Parts: sequence; C-alpha cells; structure tokens
Amino acid sequence: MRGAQNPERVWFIPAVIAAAFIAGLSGYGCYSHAMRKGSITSFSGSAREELATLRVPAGATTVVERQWLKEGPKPEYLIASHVPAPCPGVVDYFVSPTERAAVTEALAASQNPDLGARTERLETISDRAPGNLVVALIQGTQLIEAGELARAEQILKRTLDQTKEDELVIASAKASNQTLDLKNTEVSTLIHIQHACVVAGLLRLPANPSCVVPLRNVIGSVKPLSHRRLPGRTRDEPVWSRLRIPAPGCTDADEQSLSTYDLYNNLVVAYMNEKVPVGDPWRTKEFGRLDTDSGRGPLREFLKAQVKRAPESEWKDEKQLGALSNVETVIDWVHPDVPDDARFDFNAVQVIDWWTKGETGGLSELRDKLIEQAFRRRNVLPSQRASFARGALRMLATSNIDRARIAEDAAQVRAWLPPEDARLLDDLLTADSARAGLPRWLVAPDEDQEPPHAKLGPRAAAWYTAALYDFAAVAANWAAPRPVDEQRHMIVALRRLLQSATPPPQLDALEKQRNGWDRVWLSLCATRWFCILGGALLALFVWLVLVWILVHIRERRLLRTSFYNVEYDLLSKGDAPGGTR
Amino acid sequence: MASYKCDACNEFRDDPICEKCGRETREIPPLEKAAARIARDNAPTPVPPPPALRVQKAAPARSAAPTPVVTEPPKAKPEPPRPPFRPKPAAQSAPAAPPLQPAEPTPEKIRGLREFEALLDRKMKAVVICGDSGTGKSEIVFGFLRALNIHRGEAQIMNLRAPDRKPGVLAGTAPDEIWYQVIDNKRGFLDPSGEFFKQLSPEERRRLMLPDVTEDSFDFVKKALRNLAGIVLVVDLTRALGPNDVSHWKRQEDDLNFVLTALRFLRHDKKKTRPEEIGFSVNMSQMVKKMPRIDKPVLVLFSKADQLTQYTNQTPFDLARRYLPTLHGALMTHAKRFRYDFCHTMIRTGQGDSEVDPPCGVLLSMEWLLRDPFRWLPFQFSTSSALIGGGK
Repeated sequence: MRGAQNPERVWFIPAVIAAAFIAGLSGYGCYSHAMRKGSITSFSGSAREELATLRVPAGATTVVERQWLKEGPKPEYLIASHVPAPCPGVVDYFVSPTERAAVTEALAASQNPDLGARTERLETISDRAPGNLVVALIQGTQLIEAGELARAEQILKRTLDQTKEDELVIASAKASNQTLDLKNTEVSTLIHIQHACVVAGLLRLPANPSCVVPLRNVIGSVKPLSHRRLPGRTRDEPVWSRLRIPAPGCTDADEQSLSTYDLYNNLVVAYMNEKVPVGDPWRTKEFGRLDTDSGRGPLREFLKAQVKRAPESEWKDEKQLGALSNVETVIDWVHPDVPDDARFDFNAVQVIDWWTKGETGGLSELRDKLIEQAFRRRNVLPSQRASFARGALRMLATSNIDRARIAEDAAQVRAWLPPEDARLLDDLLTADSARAGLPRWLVAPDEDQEPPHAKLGPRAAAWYTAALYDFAAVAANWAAPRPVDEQRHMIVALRRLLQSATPPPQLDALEKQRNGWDRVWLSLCATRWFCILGGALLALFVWLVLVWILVHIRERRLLRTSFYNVEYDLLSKGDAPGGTR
Repeated sequence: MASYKCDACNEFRDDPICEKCGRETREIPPLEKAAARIARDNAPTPVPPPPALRVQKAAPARSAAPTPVVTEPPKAKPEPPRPPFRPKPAAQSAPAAPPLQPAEPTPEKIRGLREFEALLDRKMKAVVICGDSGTGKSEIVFGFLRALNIHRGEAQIMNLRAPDRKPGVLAGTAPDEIWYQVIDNKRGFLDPSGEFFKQLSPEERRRLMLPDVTEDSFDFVKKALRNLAGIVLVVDLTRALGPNDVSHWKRQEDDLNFVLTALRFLRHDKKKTRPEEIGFSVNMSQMVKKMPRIDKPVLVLFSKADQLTQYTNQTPFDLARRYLPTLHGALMTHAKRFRYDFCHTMIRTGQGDSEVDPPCGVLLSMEWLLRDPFRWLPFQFSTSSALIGGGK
C-alpha cells in the first residue's frame, strides 16, 4: 500500500543519503588525516633517518623475555671437579727410597684398568706410606673417580692433618723475598691435594666442608703468587688471566691442568652452599683488604657497600658476602676484562644476581661481559654442559648483550639444550635482531615485509608492546633537545604507539615541558577514539549543514506545491484504493 | 424568538423536540440567538462571485476527475442553510439595542474539554483546528482518518462525537462543545465548535456591540496551546461576503488573523502581565510582537476544493498571496512555518453532499503538519516566512 506520496521525497531522501555519504567521507578523511599527521612516519625525512638509527635498549623487553623462561630450578653452581693426576716425574722429587718406591707403585697402580684392584692396591700403598702427599693425592683422585667421595675426603683430610707443609708453603708464599711459584712441586702438590679434598667435599651429599678452610688458606698463598705471575703470563699466553698450575711432577701446564680459577670457583661455590665457617677473625682479614687494596671497578664499590651494610643485618649473609668478595678478587685481577673461564663467570653472575636480586645495581655492564665470556669460552665438563646451557640461557634472557655478537657461540650452546629451550634461545636471538630493526620499521614500515618481531610467533604481541616502551624511552630522549613542534609531534606519535600502556619516564619528562592544557590536548590527540570522535563530529556537522540546506530547499519548494493536485492526479489515475460511496 | 434549533432541519424551534423530524433540538446560545435575530431583520442576499475571480482561468480539464467540476464558485454553493452574518452598521444598531454580552462558556460548561485535557495530561499534543462554523473542520479530521486508513493502512477509530446529519455526512459540532480525535498515542486533533471562533470574531463582536474578549474566551484552547503540535486553519473559499468588499473572504481572513494573534500570544504569554485596565485585545496587540512566533507548523486548508476548480489549477500559495493578503500577512507575522493547500472530503451531488473516499488533499497536508523528521534540526529559518522574506 503506497498511496499518495510527498513529491519532494523523490529527490529529498536520496539527497539525504548522499549527504550522509559525503559527510561520512569527510569524517573519514578527517580521521585518517589526524591519524597520519600524528604518526611517527610523518616526521621529516632527516628526522626519520635519525630515528631509524636509534638503538633500542633492552629494558621492558628483557622483562618480557624473562617471562618466557619456564619456572624451573635455579641454575646450579658449577664445581670445578676435575683433579689432574701427578706426572711420573714427581718421583724425582722424593729423596727417600721408600717414598720414591711408594710413589712409583702408586703411579703404576693408578694405571690398572680394574677399578676394584686399583683402589685396593692404592689402599695398601697408602697404609705403608701414611704421610706421603703424592700417594694420598693419587689415592684420593682414584676414589673420587670411583665415586667413593666420603672415603676420598677422609683420606685426603687425614693426610693434610698429618702434614705441616701447607703452613710452611703459606708462610713462604706470603714472604716478600721468596722464590716460590705455582710451578713448584711442593706448592702444586699441596694445591692439588687441597683441591681434591674440596671437590670430594662439595660433591658429597650431605656435604662436609672439612677441606674448605685449608683450601681458603692455600688460596691465601696462591693470591700473592698469582699477583706476581700475572704480568709475565699476560704477555705470553692468549689465555692471559687463567693461571694454570702444573700437576705435581709435570714440567708445564696444559688445557687439562688445574687453574687458579678452579680454586676460586670451588671456594665461591662452597661459600654459596654455605659450607664455609665465617666470622672473626676471617671477617676482619677478608674485608679488611677493602680499605687497603686499591681495587677497581664497580664490583669493588658494590662489595664495599654491602660490607658496610652487613652489620645492620648482623652479618646474616656473610657467607654469600664471602663469595662476592672472592668473585671481586678474581675480577679485580683482570679489570676491565673478565676472567677467561666459563665456569667461574657463570658462577660469578649467579653470585651477582643473588646480591642484586634482579636489579642491575650498576653491575649490568660487568654482568653482560661475564655472560658473553661464558658463552664464548664454554669450557665446562661434558657432564655440566646441560646445566651450563640452561643457566646461560636464563642469563642471556636477562642481559643486555648484543646477541648478534654471540650468535655463533650461542649456536654451539644450543646443541646442549633440550628442544624447547633451544627454541627459546632462537627466540631470544630473533628478539634481539627485531629490537635492532624496530626503529627503522616504525619510521618507514614496508608493507611487503613482515614486521621484525613476526617471527616470534605467539610471543610477538607482548614483546612488541614492551619493545615500543623501550623505543618510546629512547625516542623521547631524542626529541627532548629538538624544536617544540617536533616535541609535540613526538609526544602524540609515541602516545599513539603506546596506546593505553604506561609511558616511560623519559616520555613523561618530555610531556612535562609542555603546559597543562597543551598536555591534555596532546594526550587527547594521541588517542584513536579522539580522532574517531573528531571525524564523527565533522561528519555530523557536514551532514547537518547539507541536510539543513536540503530541508530549506525542500521547504521552499513545498510552499509552492499543491498536495491537492498530487492526490488529485493519483486519484484520477485510479491508482488509489477506495472510491466515491 | 425561538430558543432551540434543530441542526438536522437547520430551523429554529420553540420546543426541545423538533416538530418536523422528531429529533432533539439544542438550546441556542445567546450570541447565536442575537445573530439569528439580526439575520432575520436583514434578509440574506445571494452573494455573486467576485468579478476579479470570474476572470480566473478555468481549471484544467480532468478526464478522470473523481469529483464533479464546478465552475460557478460561491453561487453554486447550496451550503448556507446557516444564516449569513451580514454586518449591521454599528451606528444603526447602537441605539436599537443594548450591547449583548453572551455568557462565556467556562471550562466546566464546555462539553468534552475535560476529557481532552485529561488526554493532554498524558503527554499528548494537540493539533488545533480553527475555522468558522460550517467550513468543514470535522469533515477534514474525519477525512484524514479515512485517508490514513486507505493510503497508509493505519486504522484509527473515530472519536468525533458527531451525529450523522445524514448517512455519511457529519452534522455540525454543537456550540459549547469541542470534539477531539486521537491520531496516535502522542497526538490528537482538537476540533472546537465554530461558535467559539465566531465569538472571537472582532467583526462579529463589533457588529453585535459586544465588549472586548476576555482571556476566558480562550478556555477551550488554552491548555491545548501549551501542548501544541500544530494548527490547522480551515478557510471556506466558497463563501463570499459581497461585491463591495475589498476581499471576498475578508471576514474569514480578519477572524483568522485575530485567532492567530491570540494563539501566539496565549502560547507564549506565561507571565500573565495583563493589567485589568487594559483590555485583552489591546494588551495582546501591544505585546504580541515581543513574543516568539508560533513555533509549530500552521496548515491553511482551503476546504470544499471540489467547488473551487477555477482556483485549484494554481498553487495555493499563489492564491493566498494574491487573494488573501490579510491571511498571508498574518501567517508571515505570526507563524514560523506554514503552508497552504486545498482539500475536499465530500462531493456535491444531486442529492446533496456525500462523503468521498479517499478524500483529496488532506493526507499529504496533514502528514506535512504531523510528520517532519527534521524538525529537530537546529538553526532552522522560520522557513516559510523567512524564505519568502516575511516575519519582520
């Protein structure tokens, strides 16, 4: 049923629809213009070039990357458990025929392929020569290898208790005009036997730290010896800071030899496992050096601060403080470089992390160096590789290392990881390259290429949000000294990038340079909804204006329209229902 | 003088029952009684069509016209069973009779008003139909309902309490009575008796030497003006006053001019600053220009267009501007938005008037009045008047 219709409807309704279309176009144009104008891609060419070269720090992204790590056991402290066997030449060191014979027999017995016969034979020889350090070392080494840790520790401890040589060596080492060296057979034997005792103690559960104190004392002698040897060694050896100690009877050290780092490493592990007695007088001796030594580097300052604070907690964490002190000692030797030993670096990072509780504490650069060195060296025992790789992966995720630099080393470590962790390592490396490519992609996005973070898959979204936060921080710093227009542009662009995320302090600081109303206006301009609202309001206004015009045209035309004639014509055609009754 | 009138026979009676048709008669109000007495003294004179209008070109031939073409406008109109109101010079009537003061119908006495006002209390808006007696106001309302049903499929029951003058033809609204017709849940027509408007007519009051109108004269429409949806002015162009008039429809124009002025004044005058020393009309004429114009659409319908074929070939706007300058000026002065149109709801046949379905010219005009989807548009010109340079 249509009936008579207002003749102006014919053009008016389509015109109103057309007006709505025009208004919609104008509103969309306004919206897209506002969005384009406030985007980071609308900076001038030179500004974009500068922005593209910004280096995005690993800040918020590190937090996200940490979350990728599964909740699992914390990394273990790696023990330097290898005890090198004495060389045959050690026999020449002994003058007494009985001792020479015992050592010779022990060396021969250690070559017996039958483990049971070997340990039994060494037991017999040891009983005949109870004070012989070399025999005890050979027997203890074999027992450790056989897994009889308690027995090994017992024999080694008993032997050390019976000898006075350690005290003589320590006293000699500390004397200013002595000729002792780490190559000295007596020194070497003593260090090796102490080391073996500590290894047996650390490996045994429940642990018995009976050998740790003597080791600490020996290290007290090794320290000055090391100080003396370092300058000469650094010139000759590429592995400059790793002072190797030849096994007793050996003329020279090799890759398998014990090193000073092994000794310190195990001492640090012992401290962190709380197997070392502390307190005065050790405390005074250990930390007293901080006032006299001319230590360098940030770790020294950190250690000093912690020692100063320790009395407040009644030296509650004194053992960990001891570990930190020994880490600092070794690192101080080679400052500004880091120790050339993956195991020590690995453990040192854990000690630093224990103290900093995840905060950098000004040690992030040192920490990054240690992690990078751990990846490069990777000199851990095959049995420790899986543990080392998992721990190193965690450290890498929490570091600011340029991961591209260690990509090849990381590929080697990747082989030691289970598949899931291997994928995580891949993602960490991808994230690093994405972080490097993010600024260029933001200022000049290429629609044909996928975003740099796309390869992160399901982890991409959260990571990208964090990366934008980091980018905003560095971009705000970049804009701070620039003209006001660029500052305002940058505020809007960064706010729009971050959307509802909390802005970094750098962006807050940039915004505070503007007055209150300007800040409110800029924050409104940065929101998509404000642009949509602006576009909608413009569209509404345009539509209203057009409709207003149309309504008035229609009204004017209607004034001179006769509805009577319209209806009359319709009735004349017989199109309308009804009729004269 | 008869005190009753039979509307069916259109004759005066002394008894409440008509001796001719046996129906109930109605009591004649004093004003009408006085008018009837004057009319009897002055015999009705057939009104010839105005010379100016006779030269108008004839309506275009409509082969399938649903209504008969009548080219003799007022002469052919057999309408006036009602005595015409021939003005009597005031100088002659003044000494003859004291001034008549008809009793103003109070709201309590106006039949139907209370119920209509109750409807207004339910947030309904009123479309007030204004026009002289016999102009076809009620037929227009009824015709709109029929057209709405036929053309738009929107049925509504009739609330008009009109008795049938004859089958299919409504009788006139009784004096002191208002009719109303619900359009939908939000709007309704207010159809007062033409007698109310006749009482307001300045010329009529002058002729009858009546004093100035009072505010009580507008009781029938006062509340409706507060809940106004629109105004319909019905003009019967088939009526002409005489050959010597400057305008043949002058009296209707003058009446509607006064009504429009009063409606504007009453719609916006909320302060009731009407000192007793100043008469209502004087006060109104002085104050009305300060008030906003009528903000609701005003529709002027030229009824009985089936008998006006010599005019319907031109636009109603041009007709009004040319031949109804007073009314046009009043609309330009008092209304923001208005339009003119013709309509007819009945046709004249040999047996008298009969209802026509669908009526012509009512539907679209009323829809213009009632359905403007852009009335909310801000900053609208008072379109009709401002667009054509009026309203100053």
